[in-house]
Formats: sequence, C-alpha cells, structure tokens
Amino acid sequence: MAKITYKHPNGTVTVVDVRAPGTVMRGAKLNNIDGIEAQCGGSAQCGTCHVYVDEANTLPLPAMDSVEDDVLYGTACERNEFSRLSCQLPISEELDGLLVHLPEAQS
Amino acid sequence: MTISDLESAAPAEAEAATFPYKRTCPFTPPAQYADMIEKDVSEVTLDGSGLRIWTVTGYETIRTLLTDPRLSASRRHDNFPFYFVAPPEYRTETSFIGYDGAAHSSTRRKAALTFTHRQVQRLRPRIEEIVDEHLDKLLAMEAPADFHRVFSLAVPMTVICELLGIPQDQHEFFIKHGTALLGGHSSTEERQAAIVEVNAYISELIKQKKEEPGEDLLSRAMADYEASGEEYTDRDLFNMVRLLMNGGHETTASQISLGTACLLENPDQLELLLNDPSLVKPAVEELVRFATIGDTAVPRVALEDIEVAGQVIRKGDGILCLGLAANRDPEVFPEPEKLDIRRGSRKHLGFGHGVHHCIGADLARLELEIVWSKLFQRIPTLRLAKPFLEIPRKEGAVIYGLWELPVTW
Repeated sequence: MAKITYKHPNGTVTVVDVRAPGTVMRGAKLNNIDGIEAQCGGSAQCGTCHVYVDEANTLPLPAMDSVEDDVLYGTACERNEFSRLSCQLPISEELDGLLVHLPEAQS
Repeated sequence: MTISDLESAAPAEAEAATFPYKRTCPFTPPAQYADMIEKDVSEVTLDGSGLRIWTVTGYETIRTLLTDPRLSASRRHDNFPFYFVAPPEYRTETSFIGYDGAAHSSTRRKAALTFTHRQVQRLRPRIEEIVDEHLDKLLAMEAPADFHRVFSLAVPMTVICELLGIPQDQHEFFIKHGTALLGGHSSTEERQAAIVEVNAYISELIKQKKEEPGEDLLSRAMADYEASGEEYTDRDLFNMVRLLMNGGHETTASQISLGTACLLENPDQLELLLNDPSLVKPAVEELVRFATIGDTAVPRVALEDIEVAGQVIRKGDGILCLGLAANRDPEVFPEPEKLDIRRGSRKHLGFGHGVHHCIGADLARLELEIVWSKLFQRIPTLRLAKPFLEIPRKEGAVIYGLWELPVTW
C-alpha cells in the first residue's frame, strides 16, 4: 500500500491509497481521477498516462527503459526531465508519499 | 440485401449451443450477445474443448478486468478458454502474449521499441511504396480478382517481413501456417504442424542472423538479450518472432478486407471519406471498432476468486473478454450499431486493453490509414464482385475475417 498524491493543473490535489500489485496509473483509474486517460491500459504504448513526478521527489523510482523514453516523445503535453508514464511506476511501500503532477491534456 | 436489412433478420445459427457464436453479418454481433450484454457476465460452453467459461461484455467491466493483476494470460492453466482442441504447443510456445508479470514485460520489451508510435511513423514512406506497388499489381490483373489474397494479405506481410528480418520469398509459407494457427477450420494436427514448422524455419533464420546480423527486429532482440546479460534461448526468439509474424499479418489483412468491404457497402460513408481525406484517421478507428476482429482473442484465467459485476468467478475459471460487445456499448459509443467514420473515438477495445494491448496497434493504424488514403483514390470504380453476405467468413477463428474478397473495377 502507498499513499499517492495526484496534483491537477488547477492546483487541486487528490490523495489515494493504492495497493500493490498495481501502478500509479491504475491507482488513478480505480479512483476515477481525471487527468489520466491510459487508453492502452498500461502497456507503455499510448502515452496517455503521462505524469510529471514532483521536482523535489526523493523516493526511489524504477529506471526508465528505452520504450517508455520513446513513447514520452509523443505525449500531448511536452515532456520534461520529470516526465514518466504512470503505468510504468509499480506500487510498492517505497513509493508511499509520492506526488505526481497531472498534465493539462493527455491526448 | 444490405447490412441494415439483415440486422433484424434472425440467423439460422442463433440457436448454436457452443461458443464462439456466429455473427449475423460481419459487422453485427451474434444474436446471442443481446442477452449476454444484458447480464454482462455469462457462462458459456466452448466449442472444441467443451469447457464452461465466463464471457464478459461490458465496456467498463472489461477495461477494469484487463488491468487487474489477478487475471492471468498464461495458456498453461487447465481451464484456459481455448474454443478448439489445442495441441500442447499452444500452451507451452506462446511468447509474451501468454506471459504474466515481469516475464511478460521483459520479453515484450525486446520487441516494443520497434512498434512505438514514433518508430512506426518513420516507416510511412516505405509503407506508402508497398501499398502503391500492390495496387499496381492488382490493377495489372484481370478483374475480378481476390483482393484479400492479392492486396490485404500481401501488404502487411511485406511490411512485417521487412521489420522482422524474414525473406520476402516466405509469404506463402507464413500465410499457409498463419491460417492454420489462427483459422477456424484447422484440425489439431494442422495447428500442431504449423507451429512446429514455423518454429523450425525461424530457428534456421536465427542461425543465419547470429552470423550476419541485420537491422531487423530479430537481430536487435538478440543483441538486446546479449547486452542485458539475461539468459535466453532460441526458443524465446522463435516464439516471439512467430507471435509478431502472425499478429502482424493475419490481423491487419482481415481488417483491410473487412474495412474495405464495409466502406463499399456503405457508400455514404465512402463518399464522406472521398470528399474529405482528413477523415481517414477517424475512419480507421471506426472501422476497427465496427469489425472488432479480435472479439474472441482476449482470453484470461482467474488467479483467485474475484467478483465481476456481482458474479463470483472462481480461481482457475476461464474468461473471454468480448470486445465486439464492449464496442457496441451505447454509453461509450452513441448509436453503436451505426457506422460513422466521423466518430473517430480511440476508446474502442479493438486492440485490447491493459498490459497485453496489441503491440502492433500503431503499425496497424498506419497501414490502414495509408491503404484507405490510396485505395479509393487510385481505383475509384472498385466494387465487390460477389454479394457481400455470400462471401465466406472465418467463423470460429481466433481472428475474425473473410476467406476471400472478390472485387472488380
């Protein structure tokens, strides 16, 4: 279980407890959080579960692989150094307290 | 008789006792689906294996299920919902389509970079050439001709062979075996022979690529395995290449033929497309939704007791997520039985959903976009050479489609 905070572009935040096994994307979908589309449903393919991990994050995230990196070049909102696909962030207790910022658009 | 005339006609097959049920027409769900959609989760008896399994039809129910880690795609479960008598190789030689968790993601990753949107877009000029070459071939023939054979199968086969590193003189070999593996008429022996022969062929190819690597996916996958230090065998490679080969030609070919026939049978929609070529991308999405050729191609097994739409599904039970039913959900697709190429919704489940979402979806989208951009421009007089509803269909196949598409011009 991990507490994940999703911050919307308008500044509002939604905090949810997400269970393992699961991902930051699935946590948003199961809790009906707007701002994560996940058209493909978690195969690192569509780029519509794009999030910006908070700049101050110190929690250990899995390394980005070449597929995720490539897909992030096609997101609706431009990627930056904090961009990740939330379907590629599996939930673990280590991610408890993670803050992600949702982009203005996903498609 | 048009498609809409037939929608109200009760098919003779409506009473079929075993699943898969026959579609009323290629773009109309089987009559039995009406009751199943009402229930969302239903129990059916499968053809061939005789198993009792669950079908799920609701759009949201399927999307939630397909992202649920308590479902397995492994073919090794006793109750895996095969609707034919599967040879043992169908359980053991699956590659990532039949893997779960980390084994799935690490194996899929070996192929995924070839199929990302960005990489696929780089293939556009070459696919345009391939489509033009095959339209030239078709036009050089005497009408009528079998569009499915000459064009629909040949275009994606040429593309996927180039990507995978398979010589172009092997089309017939792979079409024959792909039909046996995925078709609805094959005997268990034919299915087994196909998988064994294709694996033997790719094993030989692997030997060649080890000596002379190319720029193809097979060579790159070998290099990736070497670089990662992961243990791998030729079996990992030939199963992956066979999966990508079958997924890369039979599916797109079916969609090209069905979509083309659908546009020819709906001249108002074809006219919209001809008058506004920018509609081709939404048309691709709509035609994929409308045909949902992989309706019976999303099987799972429950790893523990789960509750789905109020129904308890027991650990070990087989489940089929019926995309054609979900793609007719009026909450998601208003007037779902109506073909409207302006709809353009990418929400459909025509490419599946979740970690097993079709790896080649962006490639398929691009191929279909190029095909339908060029086909009716270059052959404006294209028409069916046989009444649409008399064209034999691949009933009971893993990938739904037509056995032929006779056209004239």
